[in-house]
Amino acid sequence: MQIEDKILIWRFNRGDREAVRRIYEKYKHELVGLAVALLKNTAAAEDVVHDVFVSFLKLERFRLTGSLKGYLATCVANAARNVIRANSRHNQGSLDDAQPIESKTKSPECEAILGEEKRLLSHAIWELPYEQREVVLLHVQGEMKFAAIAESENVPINTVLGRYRYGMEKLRSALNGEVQR
Amino acid sequence: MRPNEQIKKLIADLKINPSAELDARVNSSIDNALVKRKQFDSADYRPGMWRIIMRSPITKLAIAAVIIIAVLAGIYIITGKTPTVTCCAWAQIADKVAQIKTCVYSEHTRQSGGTIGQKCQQFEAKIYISSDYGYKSETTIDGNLMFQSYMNPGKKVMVVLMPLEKKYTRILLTDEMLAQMEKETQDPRDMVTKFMSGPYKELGKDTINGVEVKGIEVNNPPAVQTYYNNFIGRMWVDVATEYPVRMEIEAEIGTGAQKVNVVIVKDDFEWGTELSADIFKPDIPADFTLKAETKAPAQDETGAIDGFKCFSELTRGRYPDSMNEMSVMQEPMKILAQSFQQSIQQSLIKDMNLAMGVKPSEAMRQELIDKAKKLSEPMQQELMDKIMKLKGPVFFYNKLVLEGKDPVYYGEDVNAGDANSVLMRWKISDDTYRVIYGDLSAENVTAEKLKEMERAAQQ
Repeated sequence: MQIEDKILIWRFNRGDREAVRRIYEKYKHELVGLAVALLKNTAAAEDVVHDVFVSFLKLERFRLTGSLKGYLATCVANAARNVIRANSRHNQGSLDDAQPIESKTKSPECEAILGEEKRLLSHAIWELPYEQREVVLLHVQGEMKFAAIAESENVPINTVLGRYRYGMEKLRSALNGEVQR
Repeated sequence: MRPNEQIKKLIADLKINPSAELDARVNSSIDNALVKRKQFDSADYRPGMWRIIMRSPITKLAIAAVIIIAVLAGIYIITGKTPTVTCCAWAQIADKVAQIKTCVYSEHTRQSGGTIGQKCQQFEAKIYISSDYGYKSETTIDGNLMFQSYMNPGKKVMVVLMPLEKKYTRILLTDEMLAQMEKETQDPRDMVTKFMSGPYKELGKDTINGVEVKGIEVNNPPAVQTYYNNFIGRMWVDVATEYPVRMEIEAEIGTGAQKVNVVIVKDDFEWGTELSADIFKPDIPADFTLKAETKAPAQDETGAIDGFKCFSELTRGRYPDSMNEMSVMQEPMKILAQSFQQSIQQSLIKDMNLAMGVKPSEAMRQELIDKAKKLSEPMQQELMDKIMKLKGPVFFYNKLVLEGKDPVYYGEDVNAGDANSVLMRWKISDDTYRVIYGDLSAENVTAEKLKEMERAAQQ
């Protein structure tokens, strides 16, 4: 874990809630990016990030063995999964065939900020099955180890590895114009 | 075909600026949490009436004592001889720090265990050190400024202000203590070199508040072994300036039931910052009264014997198990606090004609608190005098360690009055040792005779 994160957690555990502000400032871009990539909806993504920090503020103490970034990414992924699950229940579907939430607007931040290459990548990520998308994002963007992802999702590590491998293959194909369906 | 690494880099860069609305929502939630916390902290928590009345003056005494012990311990720690630093790269850092005449930093202390109990006690302190003007610290507990300590070598005095009580304490320092303090107290290199007095592990580079740092970790360095057990220290130094930016200490003080776990973090360092003389002058408000004035114990045989005597009187014939602050202070402090508490309780019951089962009215409650405070005042002087006396053996023992006089302490196996058992001994020449016996008599003995006595004691 980065020493700065260790200090922030240490400050947080001493009751310094200002440490949360610093944690938010430090990781907000990545967490919103992760949530948007998972949910394909900026408003829902921002709700998820907000809820994660509200929950974080309620903690009395916080003990962390892995990285802070990985922990927050897991929280965002869990919250995003709940949103997807709630959405699929609403649509009488299951998580397996739940479609990402459609944005009422066309995610202007994404369009404006991401270059063409990133835009292509975003669309390719959104085309991935949710579980593959989640593993790819948690491993690459959240910098989480496969074992940690397996533990947080309560699935065997081989399942996580498989999801990652298939996900990356599809992304590579999509970005090289070889979209596989 | 794009390689996986390129795709991974693209994914890792998928960052999105949150909307201003999200920033505002999160910040608002944080503000609300801060407000709630403050409300919770200031909530009028009222434990049992007798507990408030009987414990509050004593608790204050105990906290004051703990802080004063900590302040003196802190001074002692930085008066030790500076060991030679052997590593070239870190020796350069120590040399650079040694050139600095002033230093300001924050110190965060968390301690638990011993008679303090399992619940953590936390202190925050801002410390100012100047080679020219002395030492100042401001200690806060739960956000309240509890103590302001000033150490002025020129005036041979330490002044401790207690703003909440509007009181202050003066500790008169001996010439011997001052000689050491003047020589080394204000020199911040001690904090660096003590870390590096033994082997260390490189922690590599990292970032603190956007500053690139490199760190080392040490395990029980020789320079701290007289005070701490199981000491783990980490120090992070700014790669660009080579000044320390953070030090972390995890250690134990004392042994057995007296063992206290401490975690100390020093950060927010300002090395070489300009500090005016005014900062170090005790600014005692007109409405503050003198709580106690006491003398620091002499760092000699007499000071040690006085301390042993005081300890054995309070503990009915025993001596401290080992020579460290916690073993020497905790048990007598607890006994004294209980004795003061009983005395106040008896006086209140007698003066106010109270029965233990009666629930006092609000007015009576306030009267009880005021009376208890008044009754505790003369005890504060007694407590301070006892604290200083009890510290005598540790001060002397540590001095002997630093002077390389081979001191050994046998308190665990010796009872008061035991004229044939060696309580403590140290070397005074090649063939001669000074010995303090269990009956607190002292004499010079030859190395051979000492060997015989120690062998007999072991058998």
